[in-house]
Amino acid sequence: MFGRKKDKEKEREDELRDEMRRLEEQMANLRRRMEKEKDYRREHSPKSPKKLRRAKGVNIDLDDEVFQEEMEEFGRKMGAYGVELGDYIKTVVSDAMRGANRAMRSVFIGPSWDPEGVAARQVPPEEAQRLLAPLASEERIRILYLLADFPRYHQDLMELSGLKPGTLPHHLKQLEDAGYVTQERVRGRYLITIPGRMALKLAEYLHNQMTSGIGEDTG
Amino acid sequence: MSPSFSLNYRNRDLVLGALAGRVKQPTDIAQSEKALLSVNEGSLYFPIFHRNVEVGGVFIGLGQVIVDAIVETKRGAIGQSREFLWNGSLLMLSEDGNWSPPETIPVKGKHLKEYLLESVDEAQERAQGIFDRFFEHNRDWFDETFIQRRRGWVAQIFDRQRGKCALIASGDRIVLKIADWKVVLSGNKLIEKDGRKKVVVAGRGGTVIRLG
Repeated sequence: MFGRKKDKEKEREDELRDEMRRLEEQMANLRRRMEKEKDYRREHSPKSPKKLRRAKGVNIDLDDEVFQEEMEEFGRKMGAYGVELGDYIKTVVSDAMRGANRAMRSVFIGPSWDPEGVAARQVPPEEAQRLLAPLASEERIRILYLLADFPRYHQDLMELSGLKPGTLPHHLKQLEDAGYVTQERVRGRYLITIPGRMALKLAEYLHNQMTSGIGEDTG
Repeated sequence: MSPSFSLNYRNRDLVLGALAGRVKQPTDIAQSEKALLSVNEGSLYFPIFHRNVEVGGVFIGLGQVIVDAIVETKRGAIGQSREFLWNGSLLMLSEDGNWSPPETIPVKGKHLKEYLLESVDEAQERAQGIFDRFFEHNRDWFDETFIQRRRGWVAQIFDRQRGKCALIASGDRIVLKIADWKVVLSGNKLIEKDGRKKVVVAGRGGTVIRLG
């Protein structure tokens, strides 16, 4: 009687050991997947490898269904050793995931993040191009910075920007057409408009985000 | 031409002179920081005197108005710059001693016909009518705002297309009405109404309120 009970306990122990081994294998697989994904993102990053900062954490798509299923499965199996422990782990994992999701979303997308991506689609691509294309020029950004200090005459802009007489009007026209710069007809001065200042702020914001390392590993 | 067209308006002592001639070349007759008024060559010019000093004139012909209804705020510039061609007549009054009469050349009958006028007398009558109507409708305002403060310049245009337009400018201040476009601008403050669209800007801090 006592011997049979002992055998059963031994069997149970073996089962648990096998279960633990399987779990360890699954964890190892998961780790390998994470490493693979990390390598893939590093290879496909638009930045050169020299400039790329090392990611502080591991890249995990927290919304990935496979990952979530695996974590739930992990929680269920751990629950087999005791309901309390399983529940505890499930709660911890679930809380951690929710917290991480919130944190990542607030860092990368901001508090007004739109999970359906509706906000991102509200600006038609052609309109976005009209607004952003004039900013894709070092000369024009330099002109905006010069105007952000003071309104300036054509001659002053030419001297300060170092642009040739034939080039400056071309850049000014592009900025004027996009509404980033306006010209006084009476005195002839060029002024930066409210959208013009917003464009500079946008450039500054993107620069800060990129140089602080945020966004490099977001895919 | 006799000076019998002269009129006195109470103590203002403003009189309309006789037809001085045609404007010889395109001329900027008034300019401030925010506005520029010009007349084209060939426009007829009648001087306005204040106590025997030439302070403005009535023009029959064509010209241009340029207005910079733009203010600089901390958040960037706002407003718009516009140019208009006027075709009709213009009454212009400037500060004493700050009026440069345009250079003129003699008028011949064929020049008058360009403006559908048969004679010099008819031209003078039309100019007088413009002069009289202006002071008839703006007497109190003109006395208090313009004569007593003696700054800036005022122009009233009768444009065939846009009707009656008014522009008062002094330094960086403007009050204007050209068709549906109405602007009050002073320093860093702008109130603009353009048809149904309204823009109000207050202060250098860049408070912008858009209505419509």
